[in-house]
Amino acid sequence: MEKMRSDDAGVIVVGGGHAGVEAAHAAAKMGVPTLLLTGDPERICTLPCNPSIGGSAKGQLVREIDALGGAMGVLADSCSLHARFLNESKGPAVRALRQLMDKPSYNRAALRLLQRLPALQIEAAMVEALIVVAGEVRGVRCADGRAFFARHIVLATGTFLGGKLFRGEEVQPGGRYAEAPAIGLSHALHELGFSMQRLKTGTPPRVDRNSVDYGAMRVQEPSATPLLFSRRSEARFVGAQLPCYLIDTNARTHALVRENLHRSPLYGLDLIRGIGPRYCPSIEDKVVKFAHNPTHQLFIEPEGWEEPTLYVGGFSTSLPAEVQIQMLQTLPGMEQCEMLRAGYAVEYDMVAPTELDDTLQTRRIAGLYHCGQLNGTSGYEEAAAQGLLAGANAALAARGREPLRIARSEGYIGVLVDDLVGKGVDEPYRMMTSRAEHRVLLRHDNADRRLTPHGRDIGLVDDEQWTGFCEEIAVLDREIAESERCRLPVREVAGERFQGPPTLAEALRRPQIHIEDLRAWLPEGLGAETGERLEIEIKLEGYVKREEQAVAQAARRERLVIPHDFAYDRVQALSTEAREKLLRQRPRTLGAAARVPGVAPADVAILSLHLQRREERPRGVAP
Amino acid sequence: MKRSASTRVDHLQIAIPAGSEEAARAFYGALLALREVPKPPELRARGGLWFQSGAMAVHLGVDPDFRPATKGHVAFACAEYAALLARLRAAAIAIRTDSIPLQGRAHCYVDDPFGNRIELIDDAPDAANVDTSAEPTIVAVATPPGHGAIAIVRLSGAEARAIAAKLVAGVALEPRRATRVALVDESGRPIDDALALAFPAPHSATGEDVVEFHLHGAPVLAREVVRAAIACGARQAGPGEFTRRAFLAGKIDLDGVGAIGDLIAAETASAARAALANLGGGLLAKVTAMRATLREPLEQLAASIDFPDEVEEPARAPLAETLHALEGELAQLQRDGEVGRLLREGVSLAIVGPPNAGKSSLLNALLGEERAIVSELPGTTRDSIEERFVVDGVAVRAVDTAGIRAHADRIEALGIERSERAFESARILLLVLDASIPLSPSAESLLARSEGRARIVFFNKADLDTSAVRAVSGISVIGSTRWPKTLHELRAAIAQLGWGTERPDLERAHLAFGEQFDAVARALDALRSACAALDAHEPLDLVGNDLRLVDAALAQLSPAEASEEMLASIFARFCIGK
Repeated sequence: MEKMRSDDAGVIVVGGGHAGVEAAHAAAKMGVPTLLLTGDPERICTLPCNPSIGGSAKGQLVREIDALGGAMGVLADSCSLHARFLNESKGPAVRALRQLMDKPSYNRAALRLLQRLPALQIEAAMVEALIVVAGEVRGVRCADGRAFFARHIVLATGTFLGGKLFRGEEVQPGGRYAEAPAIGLSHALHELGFSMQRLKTGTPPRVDRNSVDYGAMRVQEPSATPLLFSRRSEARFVGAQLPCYLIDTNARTHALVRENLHRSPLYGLDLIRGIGPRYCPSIEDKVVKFAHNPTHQLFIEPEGWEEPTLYVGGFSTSLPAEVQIQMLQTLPGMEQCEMLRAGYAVEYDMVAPTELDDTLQTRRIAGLYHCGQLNGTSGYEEAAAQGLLAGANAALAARGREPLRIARSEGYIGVLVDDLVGKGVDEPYRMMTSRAEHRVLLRHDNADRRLTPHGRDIGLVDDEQWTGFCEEIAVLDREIAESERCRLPVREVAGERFQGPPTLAEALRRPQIHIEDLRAWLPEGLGAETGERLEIEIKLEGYVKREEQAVAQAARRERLVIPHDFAYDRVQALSTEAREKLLRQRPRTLGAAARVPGVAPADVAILSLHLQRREERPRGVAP
Repeated sequence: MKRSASTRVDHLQIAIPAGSEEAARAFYGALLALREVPKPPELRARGGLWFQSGAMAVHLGVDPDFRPATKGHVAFACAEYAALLARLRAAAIAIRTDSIPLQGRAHCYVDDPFGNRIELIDDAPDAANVDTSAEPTIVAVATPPGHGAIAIVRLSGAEARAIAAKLVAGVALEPRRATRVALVDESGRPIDDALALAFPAPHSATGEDVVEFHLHGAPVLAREVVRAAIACGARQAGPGEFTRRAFLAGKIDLDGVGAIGDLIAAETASAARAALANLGGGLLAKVTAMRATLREPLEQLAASIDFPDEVEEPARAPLAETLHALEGELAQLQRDGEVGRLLREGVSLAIVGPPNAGKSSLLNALLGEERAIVSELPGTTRDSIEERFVVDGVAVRAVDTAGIRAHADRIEALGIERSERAFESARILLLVLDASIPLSPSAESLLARSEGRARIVFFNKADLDTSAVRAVSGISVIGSTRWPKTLHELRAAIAQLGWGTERPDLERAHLAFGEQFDAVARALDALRSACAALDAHEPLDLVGNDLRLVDAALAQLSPAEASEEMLASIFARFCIGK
């Protein structure tokens, strides 16, 4: 390693999944010399579980990553074989894009994107230990004896830390299917004093697409027009758009599960200690916990244009392989199916995210950043979002610049990080719209308004993206202003009557009137997406204003920084529990303190009073 | 001198009934936060538990013939007294406080789950941890204005004694002892005679140096003392500032803060009882039930958004029904809140009328004692004064106004301006007219101006003549301030205009605090917005957004944390996951 000497102000990223790739991409794109260490560089971003990117709340995360100048949106758009908007009827704030990936393309596209970054170098290496001097990270040591040095290191180890795979009675060490786990690094983190937890997740079996009868399944068609995450992507289909299929389990499937529960590592064998996600239960869990449901819906999804495998969504299992094939063959259209790969459960170590501050740097060791499943999240999008933040902050620190922080009111990324570092996790954390209190503001359509200026500030948004953003916003704002002025020459639109000729905005505020109904009075060149944004911004104006007021009211709390050395133990009025939690977690702001579990509104009021006193004191005047 | 046979107390033993270790652990371990120590193996078979409190071992021993110790007791000195009391209160354990401090320390009694008496003593270090030196010294009138024979002016802060020294012209104040002083202002001009009391920190209500002056009840004198104190370097205390300081000094816990404010402000026994009832949890039960009603549609909506392929969105018609029912309940709670507000703040009444119509005599009659100056000369009431009397347990704040006359001398101008303000702002107008003489132009004008307001037209002096009586809108009362029947009719009229025919029901007066009232109003606003959005066929997420605001507003009335609870419930109800 010649480019990376001990005095190098560079960044090392450990791990080549969605978190690691996004971190390395961000740091290198910002121009900081970056080294990505991963077990097998050919296998970065392999999408080891489901083939989809986006979905409810996750789609918003992808848009946010894209708005900040990250990779995931562009990568997904270039591999999409099925795209669909979810929640279209439920409201603009929860509308979300979901795409299915051609898995081999995604892996190749990610590699190509990274290889084009001049500041990035990729090395095959299994990191076994961290080099820490006086509480600061200085480098990493690998299994083959090599060492790499940097003062800013991002760990994105996914499910590899102490990874163990389960299928029936079989238990083997592994991070993913057919890949060895990272045992040494897990020990190393434990030795450094990090608080570790054990989680579990799983993946369903894959079947041969040529061995099933689609005729027995319900079809789910993809969108007829190209739907994209990134404005930087060309609005066209990159390949054939494939349908998905829905089927249901039946009594025979459930009987097989029940008969074989004694061979389940989770139930009968009792081998798994890690906690699995409630929102992604295995078929065993579904049959046991929802015994009254006669059927469960399954989602049959292609994993690529040429890939022979179908993903059986909703059928995650760790029963023995021979039981899995029997279970599959009870399903409609799958009676003759061939199973190409059996499902399995994976158990892995994570580090409690309460060890981190809101820049994803560990409090224990300066310069060390954690992101992705290592922090107890699940999902490609959650991993990538943290990867971007960790990578960008490592790069900013290397440059001696202020870190990037995203508020809960600015993005799902902010909600994600604040939840993680403030509350910790007790199951794999998945982003959901219900976690975001300001979700009227956190829409897929305005991610760029919210975050592209931040991305530009830190040097992650390039000139091309910035120019595109500025032009788009200029057009949008002009059209919004125009729509308040421009009166339509009619008194009836789409069956809705008005007293006099309405303005375009007045018409749009009616729930039943949509932008398509007003096409005739809009500028010809106005893009479909800009039109949609126009409609959403006008329709939601009242809701947005109210939410912004709420945010402004809460802003004082969010801005009120608690001094790093605040003596919680001397504030007698705090409850014992709150005092302990606050001492341990040391939230940065009063707002973050309020969200620490165990801290009651009364405790927040007490803290607020004490902080106010500190604020007042220098001036000695009344509030 | 004989040497004591024992060298020290080794341990204490408290008897508990057989098989009650878990309950004991919950009380002594979880609530009192004593550290449990394992019993030696050879003694384990007998049951019971061992705890450690500081250097002292506390043994709980099983007594098969258990009888609670109601007199002999163990006293625990507690470093976190306020927090402990809050914990006990949250666990619904009755606390018997004792207002007489024990060697300057607060203490109280509770029973353990078996009826054993336990004493708790505030063992906070003397110099309260809070550094108060930088707080400005504050001053305010501590008693409600226009009420009572004594007005108390309170000074709190590091400068309290220095400022007081100037106001008492150097008379030495002995701690906690009333001293008779002649108060002077900043330039030495006499104000009034008063009693002065000094409470040195930390043994005062606020934990700071406190000086109190007890004056004759005239509001103007109390205001003058406050003004002089400010001239000597104090600052006017903001609303609730004494309480805030007391709270920061660990003198009261937060649960008590709101209620204490109300207790101080309570003008009547009814309001005091309502403030207390509020602490009892009636409101909490209501709010909890309302939130439970909201939870199901909110959960289903959240699940349908996050798992659109798997969970149906809630149907609109039943949702609308639920929401409209909830709207009714919230509106009821708000009306109950109005009762609380009425009991807390009272209702304002302006007594207006031409000069010499008998306004001051009427006020005196209603008060049942001589307060305002009564004179045969018109215009002798130079200033409007506020007095309070009680009708149906509600405080009526009555303003007797100077006669509103067309030609007033200059001295009266100020009084007239105040009367105008009282006339404009009072909830109820009480017009006093002389029934024995023809109505003057000013009486006619008052009748015209008060048309449409909540008013009582009182034709006074009917014992002399009733020639001026005529039919007017609103409630008319014909009689004399000398007749008890007339006073009774006037009180009934005030009640009818102030709170209707139904006597304010204390049981319903759940919203004792202003913030609670605001939270209910916010919840109701958001709920109405949700109903409107639902009726206008807006997308359900927008309805849900309003509903979350409803829930958030209600959550401010109850301590439970919402979002995690809801997620847990979603995963229990819906089978979700690909």
